[in-house]
Amino acid sequence: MKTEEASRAWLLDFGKGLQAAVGFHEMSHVLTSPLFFEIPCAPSYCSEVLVFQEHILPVLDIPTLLGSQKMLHNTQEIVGIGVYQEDPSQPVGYGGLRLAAFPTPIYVNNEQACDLPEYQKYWFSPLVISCFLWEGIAIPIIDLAYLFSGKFAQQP
Amino acid sequence: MNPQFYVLLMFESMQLFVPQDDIQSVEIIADVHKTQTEFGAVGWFGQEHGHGQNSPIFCLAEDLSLLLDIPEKREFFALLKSPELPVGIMCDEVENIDIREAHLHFQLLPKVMQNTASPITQLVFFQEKMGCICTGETLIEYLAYLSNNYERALLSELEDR
Repeated sequence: MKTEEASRAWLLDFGKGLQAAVGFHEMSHVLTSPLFFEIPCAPSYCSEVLVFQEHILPVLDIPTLLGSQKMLHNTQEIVGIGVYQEDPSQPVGYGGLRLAAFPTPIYVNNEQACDLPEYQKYWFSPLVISCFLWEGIAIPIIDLAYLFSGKFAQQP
Repeated sequence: MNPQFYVLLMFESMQLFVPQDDIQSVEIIADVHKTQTEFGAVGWFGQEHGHGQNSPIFCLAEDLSLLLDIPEKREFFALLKSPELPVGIMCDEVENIDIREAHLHFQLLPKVMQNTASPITQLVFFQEKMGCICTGETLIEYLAYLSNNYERALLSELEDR
């Protein structure tokens, strides 16, 4: 669907039936089979880093963050490189998101806006900016700056 | 202070960079009096061969968990400076690194990975592996944290019997 008011976005599939969207400008690259490095003492949902353009980036596992068991990554290894800015005075930051499939470019307009259904409340509110209906499914739009801010940091 | 000089402690696949100024000495493992302790250390150093005090020596796995059995490859240990008593940490290999000469660029541990119980403050890509940077202070705090947890678990196990 493409209308005058539509905005472009990326539909992200994290596996385990978890999908979310980010703005089109918030996904800079997609990497296939990058080299991951395990970092001790890090939270289970973000225990790996990768090297991208000489920068060491954290790699987030959304299903683990949302309470599912850690995914087994022995098939296709896809990582989306997200772009975020905590506030306009801060430099742009980059972070990796483990994906189950390549991101899908979509168009979204205001008429598709909906509330986050009760059965999807595992997407907690500071992380979800808004929600829209896509092919009959409620898709949350997530805040990458919040996601990579470290506010989820907890004891191991 | 020589902020560009680090001691690289290698054990298994772990590369642990510690500022040279935070390390009192590097010794060979043959000088450790190996014995099990109730707080997770694998031995003592000092009274017979070293500085006259008994420093606890710890052995860590590559995931920075406590090891109670010393792997064969552990050859050295670094004594971390402490206002109270130096604390030792074992390693397979040890190297001095001048980070300017080696053109190493440490990067802060990403915020989302930070954790109050983690001793790691920075990361560096070195020799095709990821290196972790700790200060002597954060390492000593971390060893105390591991040691307390080990002691608590042991006590609780004894109470359950």
